[in-house]
Amino acid sequence: MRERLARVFEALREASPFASLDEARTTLERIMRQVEDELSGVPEDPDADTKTVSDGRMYPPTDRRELKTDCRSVRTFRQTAHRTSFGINGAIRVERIDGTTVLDLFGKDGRSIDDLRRENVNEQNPKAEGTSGSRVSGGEA
Amino acid sequence: MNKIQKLKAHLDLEYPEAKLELSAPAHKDGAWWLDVVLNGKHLVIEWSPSTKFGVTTPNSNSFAENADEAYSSLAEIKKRVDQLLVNDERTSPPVAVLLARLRERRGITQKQLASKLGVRQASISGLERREDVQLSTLRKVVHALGGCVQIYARFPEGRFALEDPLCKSGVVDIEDDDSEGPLSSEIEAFVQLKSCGKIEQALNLADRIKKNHSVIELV
Repeated sequence: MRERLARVFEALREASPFASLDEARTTLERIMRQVEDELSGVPEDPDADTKTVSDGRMYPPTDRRELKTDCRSVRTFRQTAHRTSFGINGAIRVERIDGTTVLDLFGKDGRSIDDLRRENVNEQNPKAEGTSGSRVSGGEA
Repeated sequence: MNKIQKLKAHLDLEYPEAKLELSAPAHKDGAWWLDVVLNGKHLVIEWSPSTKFGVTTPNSNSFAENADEAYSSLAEIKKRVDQLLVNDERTSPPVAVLLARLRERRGITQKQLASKLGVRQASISGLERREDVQLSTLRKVVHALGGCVQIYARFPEGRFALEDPLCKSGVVDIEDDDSEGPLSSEIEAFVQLKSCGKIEQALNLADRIKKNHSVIELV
């Protein structure tokens, strides 16, 4: 699993930055499918999203697993032990459920998932503290 | 109140010291998630109107896979969650998935394992997708990975360890818990078979007990 996951993250870092949420999401889906086809030994089950128990293969997040959030510029998906967030600017963040960030890629505009969330808070509550500053590098935390 | 909200209400009542977090889906028929943390143990429970309850005790390798175990009814998931929170137990995925995880953890590819066992890689791939695996096959694979198989039959009265004959000369040991409850007829029969040296019959009985009551742990 570690090797397969490392391969997915490595390929995502190489392919980033992405310009849109759709581009980020479809690239993650394509890369995960390629890595799992090559390394997992488990053929893709097209119905895996409707099944409860693991078949040993990693699957990308699906709409059914999207969480309800207040942030309009970030879509967050839950899977058993982690959350994957996609920003409208192509940013991606993968967090374990203990809060550890394992992948944090900025969008093509240089903004991270954190930046988008802060901006969303500021829009909803203009008097709130917080900035929308951007950083310039992304990668595994 | 939906089924997972009812489960949360049950856990709120039964385990007031537990930290519970329920996450709602963005879409009407999407998945709900309930995280339960108690005494350092974390359970992840998933439910949606169109699927069963899924439950997993995640570890650092858990990523992007479905749940380890599935339960259809609220009563079943309540019972399993109680077991997991009260006992020192972890969830267990299907044996085939567990085998694949063990192989990866040992840093061995399907091809290398096939070579060790003198079979084709396709056989290992098939084995890791099979819903049921013979105990003899399980033993061979685990030995090839450098380990041995132990099967425990767990009862309220105690835990029974059936040692792998290739690891410990076919001796069947009993590990008693502190419980003073009476032994069931099945356990008494098992003890009698074991003490008479009828190991094969004892193993068969343990297999039946395992199917009805226990968990398989690969160590």
